[in-house]
Amino acid sequence: MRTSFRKPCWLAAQALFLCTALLHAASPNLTIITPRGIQRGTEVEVLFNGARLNDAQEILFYEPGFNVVSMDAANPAQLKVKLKLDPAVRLGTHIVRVRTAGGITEAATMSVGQYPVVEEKEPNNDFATPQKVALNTSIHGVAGNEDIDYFLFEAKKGQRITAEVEAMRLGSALVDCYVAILDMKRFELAVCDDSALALQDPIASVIAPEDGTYVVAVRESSYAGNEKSRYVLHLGEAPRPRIAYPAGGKAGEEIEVTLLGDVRGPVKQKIKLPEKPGDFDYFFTQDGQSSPSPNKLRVVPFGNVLEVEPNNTPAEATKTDAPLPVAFNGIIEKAGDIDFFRFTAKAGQTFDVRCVARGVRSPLDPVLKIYKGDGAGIAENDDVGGPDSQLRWAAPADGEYLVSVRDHLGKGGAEYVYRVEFRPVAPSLTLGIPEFARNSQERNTVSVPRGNRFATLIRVARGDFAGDVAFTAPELPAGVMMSNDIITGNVNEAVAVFEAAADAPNAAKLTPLAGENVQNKAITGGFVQSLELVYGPPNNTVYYRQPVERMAVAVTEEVPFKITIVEPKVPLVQSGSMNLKVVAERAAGFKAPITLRMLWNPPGVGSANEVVIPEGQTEALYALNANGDAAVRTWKIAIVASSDAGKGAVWTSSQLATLNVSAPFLAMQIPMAAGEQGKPAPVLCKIQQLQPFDGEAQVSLFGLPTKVTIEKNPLPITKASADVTFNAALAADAPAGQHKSLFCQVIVMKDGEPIAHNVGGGGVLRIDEPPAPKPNAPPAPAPVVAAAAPAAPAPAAPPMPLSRLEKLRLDASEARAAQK
Amino acid sequence: MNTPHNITGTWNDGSAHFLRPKVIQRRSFFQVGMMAGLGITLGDFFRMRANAEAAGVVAKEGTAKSVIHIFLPGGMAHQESWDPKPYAPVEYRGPFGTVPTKVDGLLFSQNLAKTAQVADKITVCRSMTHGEAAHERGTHNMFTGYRPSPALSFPSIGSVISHELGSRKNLPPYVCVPGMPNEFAGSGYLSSAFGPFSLGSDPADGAFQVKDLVLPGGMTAERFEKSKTMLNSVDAHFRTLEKSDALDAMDSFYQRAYGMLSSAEAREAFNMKAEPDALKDAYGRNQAGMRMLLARRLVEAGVRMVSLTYGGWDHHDNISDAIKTQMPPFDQAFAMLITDLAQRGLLDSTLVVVSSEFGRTPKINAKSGRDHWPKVFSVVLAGGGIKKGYVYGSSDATASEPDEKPLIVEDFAATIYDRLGIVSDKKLMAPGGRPIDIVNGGKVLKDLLA
Repeated sequence: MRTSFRKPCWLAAQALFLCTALLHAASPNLTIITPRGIQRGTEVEVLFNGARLNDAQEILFYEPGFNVVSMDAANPAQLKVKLKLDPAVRLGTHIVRVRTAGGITEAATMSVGQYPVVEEKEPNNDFATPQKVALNTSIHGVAGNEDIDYFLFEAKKGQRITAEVEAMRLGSALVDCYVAILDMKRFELAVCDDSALALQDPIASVIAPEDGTYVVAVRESSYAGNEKSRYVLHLGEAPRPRIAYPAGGKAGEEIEVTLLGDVRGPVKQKIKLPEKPGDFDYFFTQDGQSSPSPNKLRVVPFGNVLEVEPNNTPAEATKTDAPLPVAFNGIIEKAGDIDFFRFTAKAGQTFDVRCVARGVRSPLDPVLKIYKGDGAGIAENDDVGGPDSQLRWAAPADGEYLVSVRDHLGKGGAEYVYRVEFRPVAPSLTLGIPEFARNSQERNTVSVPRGNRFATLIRVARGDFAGDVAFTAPELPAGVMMSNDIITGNVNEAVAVFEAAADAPNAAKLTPLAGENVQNKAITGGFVQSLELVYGPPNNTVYYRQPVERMAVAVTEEVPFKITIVEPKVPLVQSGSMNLKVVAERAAGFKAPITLRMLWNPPGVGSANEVVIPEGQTEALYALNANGDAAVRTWKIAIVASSDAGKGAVWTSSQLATLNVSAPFLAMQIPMAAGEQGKPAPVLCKIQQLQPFDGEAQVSLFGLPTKVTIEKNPLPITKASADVTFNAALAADAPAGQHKSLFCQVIVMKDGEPIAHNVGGGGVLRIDEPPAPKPNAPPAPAPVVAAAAPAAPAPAAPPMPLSRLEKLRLDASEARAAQK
Repeated sequence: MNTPHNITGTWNDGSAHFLRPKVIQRRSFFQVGMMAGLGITLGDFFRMRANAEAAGVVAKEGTAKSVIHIFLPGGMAHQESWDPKPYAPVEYRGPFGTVPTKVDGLLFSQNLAKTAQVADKITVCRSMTHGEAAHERGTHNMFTGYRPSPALSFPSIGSVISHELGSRKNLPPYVCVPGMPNEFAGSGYLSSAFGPFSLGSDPADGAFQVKDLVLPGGMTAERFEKSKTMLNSVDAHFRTLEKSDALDAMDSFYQRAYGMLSSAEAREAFNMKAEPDALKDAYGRNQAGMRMLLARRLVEAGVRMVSLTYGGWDHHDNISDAIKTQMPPFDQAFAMLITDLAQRGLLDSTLVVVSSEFGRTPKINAKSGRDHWPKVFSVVLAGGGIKKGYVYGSSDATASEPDEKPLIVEDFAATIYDRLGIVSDKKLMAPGGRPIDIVNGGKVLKDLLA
């Protein structure tokens, strides 16, 4: 499955590496593999185009049948590989990566066909001067701007001609092709722009009406191609059924299907279905030729019920006695057709009911409806599963029910195949690596430098279950360890840190992941990476994606830096913040800045988006915050680091570190403070002690407006303090109005480390303009208050500080008392 | 509320105004014909007609004689520019610090260090708000002063200015630099004659030349006259066959183009070569600098509204690097534009507006960017009778919502029109004889006025 090839000079290169710390791992890059089409069962030279490929050591194939005969890595931008393909290699697009000494490339694609491949030769843009090709050939061409490629071939009367274009499916560019088979009078025998089976890729087939020559024309459908609009035209006698009926069956069973849509007419065929449920690609073979691409079948754990026409009304519904779960199969054969099935269900049985049509590449856009036995509708869906229909349905009572399928626009045709699968609701678990940069494959593999670490996030998709998920990687390369926490029930992600021993050999593995629900170990699942390879308008829609079920993990050459989180002795408190210290070890001579990124923030915790350890330095502080609702518990975190020492960014990681989020020691409220311009304004902060702390804590007031100063800031408090007052002095030109940004930071010390609380948020300081003197004003009440003050009992303790509101109340009550 | 004001509301205003009044009022007896269904009374009808007839009246001049509208497409983050939150948690605050400005206590993001030095000449509105988080809808709001409606295509502020104030010194009243930035910068329901004049060339480009300002090579004045005569006779023929706005608009385009071709002064307005090198350096020889310099040159020459765009500010990913690249040219050019206008004595008669379709999310996202956020963002107004060294409104502690004096699109537009002397509740006639307010119910914000 994987074929390793080492350059003869490899050991010499390695020896050279050890001599200097600056020769180290690099990020290789793979953009496109050419030619886009290769033939199975042959030996071919393939060019891997990209950057930094000159220390390539291995080609990683996800499927069997590829053997590397030789590799020429002289050119960093182009790796020449001689490949020998087994005759049994699956036809179609394959995912490939290159492993170099420095890392793993992005996934790129190569397309395997059954015919010899010839290159398109321009000029072939004129119908009168086409490129001559033989039937049963694959042509690798480019549909450029305003470019029509004409290919001339000979065929005998009655011969089947199939022209299938792979363009979007090549997975390398957004290219929408059109194909036509023309006779020599330029009449169109068959044309196609898009097809239900191959989506944007066209398929045209015809039975040759006479002995003679014919022309195939390929172009971009709107004549707007460019130099990247590559295609592979499979031109031959291959059978080309468009769909199978029924389009699926029970896992492990042999079913008889009718293959529809081939120009020679329907063919019955027995197919042994695989044991594993899921989507199944079936290649139909006839007269020694395979369909260029597969037909889509569904493999499920239950059997089929086939429609019996007429079944266009509830009364005529195809009736089955088979208990659910089953899959009902039919064809909406003509416009306006509707198919009914009658079945029995028991009260409380719940099913995911899915009408699969587009899912098996049928042209049908189904609308699904479930009725009671008497024909009263109870559930309906059109498009939950894309154009396909899907709903969750619980039988309300024991009894008979009906299900119907029709086309959304009332269309129909011989290939409008569908199946309605009544599947019992079952939990599902899938693990994956989230996208780190939009529409990019960045860091979707694991490259662990020797003697160093790499970290990634593992994300779980839970279907119909809740709870914690544990995961392991069973097939890591030698010398690599993965450490990770479980993915707890309230989150979907956890950090996984990979560490390679200092003597781990340069190697790679495509490893599955094994995930299981901690509370119910029967719920298991694995890794799926949906590689999104072609994006296009509108809004970066994915036009081609291909899933792989294993994660690429490699041990790479050393990198000249290693980072470690200095784990704090104190917790991060709710509504608090922390500066996490990160230390870098640098190899001698390595001075480049190192960019740090928190790989994942636990819920309620926020952090700086990136922090840089500046050139030549070895330390940085990484700011973390917890909000007031952050869960009190410990989490496993990691910080990843990247730097570029001239060969592209390389990534490492800290250890899997523990972050403890705990309850705060205190809370605070700042009642509104107020004062006149040019006068002092005491700012009272009321403390709510929550847990006792040792010694003094320091309170700093922040967020004061301009022209407001505080004599002493910070102020100390202890576990006994109930409040603290800052004496703000307002300048005569301090801005009048309400200033709402006051808050305090309280630093509580524990084990010699600070615990920062950000409290009292939303505090307001109101600055008033001095009142204009009133003409003939009566004596101000202030002297009364002032006079009243000495009358109060001699203060043994300092007076209790009052908030603005309390002061106003006091003033008012004193004024009332004075009036009496 | 059976007023024409309600009828001109957008479809977003709720369905209430399409309902008949529940209580029969005396006024209802005056309802006429088909319009009764819409709830227009006879009195309203006459008033609307009078307003419609007044549509052609030229507004009186305001404090602002011209507008330079700098639009930053994509949605510029208010946090990384006009409204930094230095005390917010780091995931809200973002990667940048602040810089003090010429106004005591007013901080800008560190990315606007040069603009900070002219903060005493501008007004920052930190409480701009609308609810449209899609680019095209937000852009529509900011260019037209209206929420988008499927029923009507609204004219841009520039086109309304063009319609209301007309041309000056043979120059097009409304110019887009380098070209019409989006479909909402057009003339909407007004005749396309009020659409923008697009340069079709970027002043930052060394070979900058406005198309169609000079006769093509080999075309003599005599030959050109002959062609004009031929064109007129063809047009006259078509005019006998049909009456269409496109023909009239085309005619007015030609008239204006002939005017520009024949006016050396008008042509000179576009001549960037006439600007001294030192000034070009001061603005910055890049898209921001050259577009703003040309804008100043055009308003100086007599163009009423110049709408220019700079950069792409849709920073969903890695906002830090994007800001570091795009902001310095803007900062330099904008600070220089304000300084230059002030030095030439043009600032008090030129309203400079900096806007974007919306702001960006308070919290930095997982890809180190910020996403669309129309709830609160900042716009800047300067000159043309706007206060100097002033901050209008504020956002809350994390720049998530307006805290004080929310600034709505209608008020923003009404205030701009007011400065130009255009009465924003005047009605313009839309196709089908529908009189539409220039701005639907906006108030002129006295707090903003100098």
